[in-house]
Amino acid sequence: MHSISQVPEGYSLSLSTSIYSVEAVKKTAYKFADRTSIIINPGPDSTISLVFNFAGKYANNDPKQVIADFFKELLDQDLRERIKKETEPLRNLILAHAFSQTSLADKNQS
Amino acid sequence: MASIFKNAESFLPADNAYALLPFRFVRLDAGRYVAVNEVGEWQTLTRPELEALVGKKLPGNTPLYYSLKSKHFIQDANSNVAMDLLTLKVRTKRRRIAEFTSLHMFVVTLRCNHSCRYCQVSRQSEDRSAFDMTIPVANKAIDFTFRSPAQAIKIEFQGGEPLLNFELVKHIVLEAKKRNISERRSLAFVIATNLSVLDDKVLSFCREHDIYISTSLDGPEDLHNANRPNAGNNSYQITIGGIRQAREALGMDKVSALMTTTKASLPRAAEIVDEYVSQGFRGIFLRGLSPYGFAIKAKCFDEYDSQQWQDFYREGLDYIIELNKRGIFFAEHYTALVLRKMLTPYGTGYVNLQSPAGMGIAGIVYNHDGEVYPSDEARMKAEMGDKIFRMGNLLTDSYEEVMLSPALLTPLKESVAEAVPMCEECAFLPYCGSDPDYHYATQHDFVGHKAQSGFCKKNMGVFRYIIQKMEDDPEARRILEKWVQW
Amino acid sequence: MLKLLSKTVVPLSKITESDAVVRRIADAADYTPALRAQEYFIVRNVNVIIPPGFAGYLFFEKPNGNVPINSFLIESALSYLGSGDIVKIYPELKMLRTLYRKCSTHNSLSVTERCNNLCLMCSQPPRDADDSYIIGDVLQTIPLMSPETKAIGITGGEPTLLGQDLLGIIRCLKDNLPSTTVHILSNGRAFKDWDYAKAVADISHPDLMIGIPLYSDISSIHDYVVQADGAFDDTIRGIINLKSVGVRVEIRTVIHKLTFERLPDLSRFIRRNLTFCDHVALMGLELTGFTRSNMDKLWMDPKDYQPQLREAVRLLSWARMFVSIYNHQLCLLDPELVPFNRRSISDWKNEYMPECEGCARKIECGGFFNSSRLRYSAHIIPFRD
Repeated sequence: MHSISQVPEGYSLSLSTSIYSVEAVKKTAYKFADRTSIIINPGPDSTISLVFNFAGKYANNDPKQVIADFFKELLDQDLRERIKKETEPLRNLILAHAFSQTSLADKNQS
Repeated sequence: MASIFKNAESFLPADNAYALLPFRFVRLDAGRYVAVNEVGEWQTLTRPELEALVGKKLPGNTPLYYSLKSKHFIQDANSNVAMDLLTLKVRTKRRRIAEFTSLHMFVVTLRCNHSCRYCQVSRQSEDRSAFDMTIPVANKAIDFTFRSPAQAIKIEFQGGEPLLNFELVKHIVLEAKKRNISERRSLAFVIATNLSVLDDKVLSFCREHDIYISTSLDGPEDLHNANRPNAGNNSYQITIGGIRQAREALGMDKVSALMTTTKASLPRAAEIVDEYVSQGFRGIFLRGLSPYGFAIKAKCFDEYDSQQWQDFYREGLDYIIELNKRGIFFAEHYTALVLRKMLTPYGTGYVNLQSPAGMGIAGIVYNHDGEVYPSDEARMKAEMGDKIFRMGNLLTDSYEEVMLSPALLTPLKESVAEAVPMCEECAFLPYCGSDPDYHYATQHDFVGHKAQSGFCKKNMGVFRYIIQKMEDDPEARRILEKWVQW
Repeated sequence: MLKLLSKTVVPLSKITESDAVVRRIADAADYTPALRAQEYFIVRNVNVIIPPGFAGYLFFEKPNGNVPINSFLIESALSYLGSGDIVKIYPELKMLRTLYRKCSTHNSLSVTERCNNLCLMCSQPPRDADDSYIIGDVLQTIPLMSPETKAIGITGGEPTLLGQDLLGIIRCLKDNLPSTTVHILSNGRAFKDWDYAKAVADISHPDLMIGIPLYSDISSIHDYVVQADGAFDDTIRGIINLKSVGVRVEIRTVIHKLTFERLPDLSRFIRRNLTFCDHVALMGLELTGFTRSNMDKLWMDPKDYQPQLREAVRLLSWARMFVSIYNHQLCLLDPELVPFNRRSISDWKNEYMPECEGCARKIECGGFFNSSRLRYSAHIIPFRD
């Protein structure tokens, strides 16, 4: 599914952007800033390449575990995107209505 | 014979279709996720259940389906009242924001007779003119206090040691009460004191005006004294004696204690709880490690400290629950605050767990020199040389200039949790807050990178632990429910 | 069980009014002459001189000698009637209906038999007939009631189907009985119209509460129990509207086989979404009306749902909400729940079973509905204090 190869900087792998959105990848990478440093680059044929670096303060972390966790989180991010896509308009409606001046019990619209 | 009654099936939606309502989720532990809606109602589920939920494949009319529907995670063709109820609940949760500033801290002097290791502000000095608040400043501060629309106002006297300037404390209490005759707010007073200069004059004034006493009790004698040296005297003995005296004069419910958590506290949770129990307190607030007073790490939190604090909190909470099981009513106040957010439709006034941050808009500090700060931590930063949060001065600036100063508005706006990375998608957002003070102190940034934030790690650990307790330990759940203030 | 409707009224003399009239009863021989012309005198001793001037006379036995005009013979089952009580006699139908009893603590006025729900356990099955005449009776009865009456219930059917006429009844209660608590039982659906809720609030009745049933936190289950699509949504909106205009609302639920399982979930739902309601009443099943046709769907031994009841009460009382348990026998309740139990069965409805013989807490308990003779818990055990 994804091939991890070892490179001088750490571990490199590529992801297909037809499966994972760039946004999801970036959000996941952001979350892992305490465990590894990740460099993201565009790759060939609608892929993105990630390089996980475990030098310095990250040296004590287990690369296999961190990368496995990364993918778990990436799938979660994908799920979050789907939820957000469907529910964002409703959330905006709730917030707008909640903070508006009109009484909520006034002449029910629904 | 045809019945006039229709069967249950005829009231179900025609198909299994449902729509999602807004929610966030996070991994709870190895086997479970937890989904949380906009107002803090939660539902644990497995990952396959979560996927089925989002993929619209969740079978209808199962306990999980009903639970999600009841808690407003989903809605179906059968009912459309969820949006109305959610709107009401969102409004109720945030109602406190409209109350505006309700906690007003008056730093009546910087002079102090202790040299507590984590204090950044006190001065060992007799120089009243340099370090005492004056009457003109105090009067202006009272003006500012009543400019807030809050129906319930709490004036808290701080320092240094506020009782070293007791004359001004008296003046402020009497002046504020006079103002309140026409203002008609619910007015409360607290003095945060180390109790070393408590005498009958002070106590009778407190009794007459219904003033609360709040003191510091860090734990057993050796721990307390190690944190709070007092030039040859035994701070612990003074504290215990003072508590006794104050209770006799004012009543049990008028005297409270707060602990400051230091590294030395971390392995001693049960002992600290025992100290509070034996001193007759009905609860304790297991506070987080302050980023002040120790070597403040430049970029990221100390992983080790953070994990140790988690252990400290869990050990403390478990021990307290154990005491309750044995029939001793004793609460952990931080947990109780979080539970109020989790279980009730209401928010809390606790300034450190709010978004937008509680600085300025929930609590405010009037310093002895008239400088106005949005929080105690901000004042500490200023005393340490960085006035980034300085909002203005009581003597030279108007209320509008102070409350609308960029020093306040910028950190508030920038740090709103609903709009910053990681927080905006975090399941625990309804329980948490933004803390520009903490993140500025540790990362020199109002928002902070939450992956490197001790504030984030701490709170997520607390939320996870509490939810697990509520889900997995019915006896603990019954105990925790009783702590919640509705 | 008291008989409130008698069909064996026999005229004993000339009857000058054939139309049914609502009248109050007096029994004192020296009753003030000014009011006699509007009231019935109840004769308990035929050997004593009958005071003149009353609108009519009620006898339990035929007297010797002359009988005043408008005299009626009524059955001994009506011997509970006394001064201050209000009845309506239908001379042509030989009927007497008791509308109000001064000494009762549970007076209620049924204002219609029509309803827009059809609850599976309805104790007053609705009839879809034009019964608007009842409104007139009610408006005549209210001014005759004693101002010392503690509480009046307004029931039905569904009282809000009266629309503006219900407002008139509330106003009449406010004007005539300002110290009397009014408790209206309604499904709350009509109050989804905010204007109607506001109209109730604008009457400013000093002590009004509306009791609204909610049977589940799940719309399809509630709708099934009340047999009406969309009832849940309407009821929720009604509750919100009423609270938004400051009318006191009590939420009631009846515990039976269809509702017991999610009772704790309903409590959670109420304390989260309807925290502002003034009272929650958790009620035992009454085996009258439709319940009898639906026993297989509804009946369960109350002992079997005690765990759910306990959890439900806990959740609400932890939230500092006011909770009461109605229509349960004390011996069935967990001791923790006894403080929430109210002696609730109307004094014209309650009875005790053979198992209650010798129980030391009979009065405190209140016993059973008369209808419970059909079926009741297998766990009734008398207290031997």
